Amino acid sequence: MQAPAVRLIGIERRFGKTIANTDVDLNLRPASIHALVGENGAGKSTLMRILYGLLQPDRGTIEIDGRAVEIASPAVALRHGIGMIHQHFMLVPPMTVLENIVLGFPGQRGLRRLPRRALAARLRRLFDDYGFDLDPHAPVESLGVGERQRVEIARLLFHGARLLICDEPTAVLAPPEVDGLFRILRRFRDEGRTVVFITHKLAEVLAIADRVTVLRRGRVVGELARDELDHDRLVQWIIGEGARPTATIGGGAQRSAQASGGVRVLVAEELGVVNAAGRALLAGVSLDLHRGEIVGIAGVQGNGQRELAEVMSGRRTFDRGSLRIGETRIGPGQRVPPALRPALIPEDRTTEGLVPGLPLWENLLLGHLADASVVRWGWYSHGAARRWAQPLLDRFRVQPPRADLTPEALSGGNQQKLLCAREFARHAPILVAAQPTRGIDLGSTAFLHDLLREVRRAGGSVLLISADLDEILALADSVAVLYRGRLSRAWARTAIDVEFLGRAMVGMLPLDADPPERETISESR
Amino acid sequence: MGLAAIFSLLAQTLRISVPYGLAAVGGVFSERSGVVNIALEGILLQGAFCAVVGTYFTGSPFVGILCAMVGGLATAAVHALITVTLRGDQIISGLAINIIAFGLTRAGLRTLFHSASNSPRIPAPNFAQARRWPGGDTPLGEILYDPLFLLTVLLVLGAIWFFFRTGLGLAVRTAGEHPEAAHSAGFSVARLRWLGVLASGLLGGLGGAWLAFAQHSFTDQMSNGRGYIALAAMIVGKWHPLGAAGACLLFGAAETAQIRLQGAAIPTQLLQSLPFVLTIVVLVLWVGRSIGPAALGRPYDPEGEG
Repeated sequence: MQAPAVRLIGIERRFGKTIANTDVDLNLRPASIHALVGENGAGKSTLMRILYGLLQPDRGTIEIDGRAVEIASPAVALRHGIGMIHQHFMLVPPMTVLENIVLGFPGQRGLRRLPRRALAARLRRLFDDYGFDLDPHAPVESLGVGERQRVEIARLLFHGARLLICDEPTAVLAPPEVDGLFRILRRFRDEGRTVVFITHKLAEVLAIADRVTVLRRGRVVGELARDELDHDRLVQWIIGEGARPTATIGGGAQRSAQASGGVRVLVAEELGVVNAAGRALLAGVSLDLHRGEIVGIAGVQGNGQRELAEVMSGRRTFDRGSLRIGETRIGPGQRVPPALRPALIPEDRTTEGLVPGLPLWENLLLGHLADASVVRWGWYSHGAARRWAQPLLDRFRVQPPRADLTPEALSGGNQQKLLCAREFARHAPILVAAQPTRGIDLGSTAFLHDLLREVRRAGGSVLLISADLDEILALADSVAVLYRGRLSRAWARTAIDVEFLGRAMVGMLPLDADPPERETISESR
Repeated sequence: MGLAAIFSLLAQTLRISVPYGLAAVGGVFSERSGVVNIALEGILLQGAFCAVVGTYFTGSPFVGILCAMVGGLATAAVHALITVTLRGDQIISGLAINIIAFGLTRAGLRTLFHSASNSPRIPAPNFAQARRWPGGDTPLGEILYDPLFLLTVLLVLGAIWFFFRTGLGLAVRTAGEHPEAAHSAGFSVARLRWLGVLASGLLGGLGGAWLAFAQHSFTDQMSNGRGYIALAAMIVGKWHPLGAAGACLLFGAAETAQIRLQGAAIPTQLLQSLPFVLTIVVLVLWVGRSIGPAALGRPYDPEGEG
């Protein structure tokens, strides 16, 4: 199999006034793994959506094997052997693995009967060949995230893709699953396929890429071959000259003095949450959060993270066990009084946190309707509320700091800062932060990490729920793992490492496992 | 009650259920592709009117059936244009089409037939030899050998085959569940949705034709809310052609009971509400577990960010 040689020349694409890509040249050599790196909003996804025919460029050409082609739609891209694994899976949950894979397969697009048995046999051979443990007739909604990704990959192979675009494929995976994915991608390369690998994690680039192209603000800022890969140079390219480098990752936690033996501000005992269908989403969850402590909850999303964040922040009632916030005990079915509710940075900032269409100052006001300094007798003056909001925007460095904008005008990182401004301004002693830096740029990430450390220094407590192990290890004083709705025992940060956590979060270790022996511990990757 | 009486009840139930069934399966096509189609009410009405016009001016009920299909398709095309191509609001488009359909058919009635209430009498389609086929002269035989009834059965079975056995049906379902996935797999979501909405127009138009032939004429506002009942039946039937058809049979049976019980001691007004009460009861008891296509009602912009 020989992958096509693909060149993108002078690509430009605008959305309204924003320039997503301009003057981009990219040369994808056959049988290689080509990493495309950059911060969020650097234009990586836009570029690849153009190559896959989902977007049309305003300017520039695409050459395949030396011939200029117009990729008007994904159908055309697929005909050229180009396939894409999207960041958000293109799978229909109620349909079976087989249905999802054969959708749109040439010869199976019309009114002819789908030869299910023959297709299933072909799929099984493909699964065997690549070591995928998948049942063609299982509905996709019954599969875990890693398995769903393999369905996406199998889909591309089934359709004969020779150039595979993977848009942040590791964002949803736990470390052992990442290793599995990398094995598959390397095999593709050895088979003669080309892989385009979009990421913003440098460790992954160094681990797998044959070539790296860095994008910043829609432009190519540099390209390196495998033997010239240089971590510092890549960082400079990614965040730009003069930008503040991020010192947060791998830094190790400075355990605050009063944490151990200090006052317990949040105590959960044997908490359980059951959904309408009777399935346990959380079971037997017990944890202690002390004054001046950051407790990290590691785990792959979808293992009860959302429910844990909602219950611990008092946004949702639970069905079993008990919760103590400060001196107040809360039982099953009881609501947490608003004054006691911890501050919450929800998992999905756009759908759960902010209201699109409302100006920034009203979004800020939403968390403070009981604040007598802005809201009197249930009324607020627009002018006073704007004046009240402005210092918050400034202090939390929301860019641009204009109270009349709507959240859609902000980047992901700035939306998150806005949410923090609202939640932190309540001065709640406890903060629940769910995936606080997912999908946001390095600069905002550093700012948010500093904020969390500041909360701890001031004697506040943070429950940090995150799938990013580097983040957990950099910030938390103690760490537990949430796996299939159950919480492990809490380990001291100093007693564990990335490998240990990675194994625990996919269930390869029992939830009451002892930490590894001292001498095997490495401080960071 | 003798066998003949049971057969006659059965015949009446089928007769009442057919227009609901056609419209409900039409609704399945539209909604599975992701487009809410409350315009079915107007489609039924236009279909009925076109059937009468076609039959009256040519003398052939089969031409009338063709006209009903064309009328249904044209009405549905307006809905598809507004909701799919122009990405307008699906509920507002449907409501507007229904209101316009009331007005158009009433104006047509006045212009073509010079009446404010009803058209002249028209013949219904049938196979000339059908009376000589086994049981052809009984009430049940009359409906079982009705060309439009046979077509309905074929269409329900064909819809099941289409949705769950063919690649194109799979693509239409994907357009309603996850349009981005259909687009990414190389389909045009707009075309799939046009297909779904047009199919609902074709079936709804046929349903209208049945109404007209059952009454041998067109009367003002004769669809009488059947399009909405059909949508409820589709939901009760969980957006599955067979389920939708089954729910329509249930509703038809309730209406038959209501008609038969008239003259008994129960007040007529109460009796007439029976089918609707039944629909609401079944809806309430069932709808919690009836989950529609995930992207139903959501316009799709292929160049949208995300």
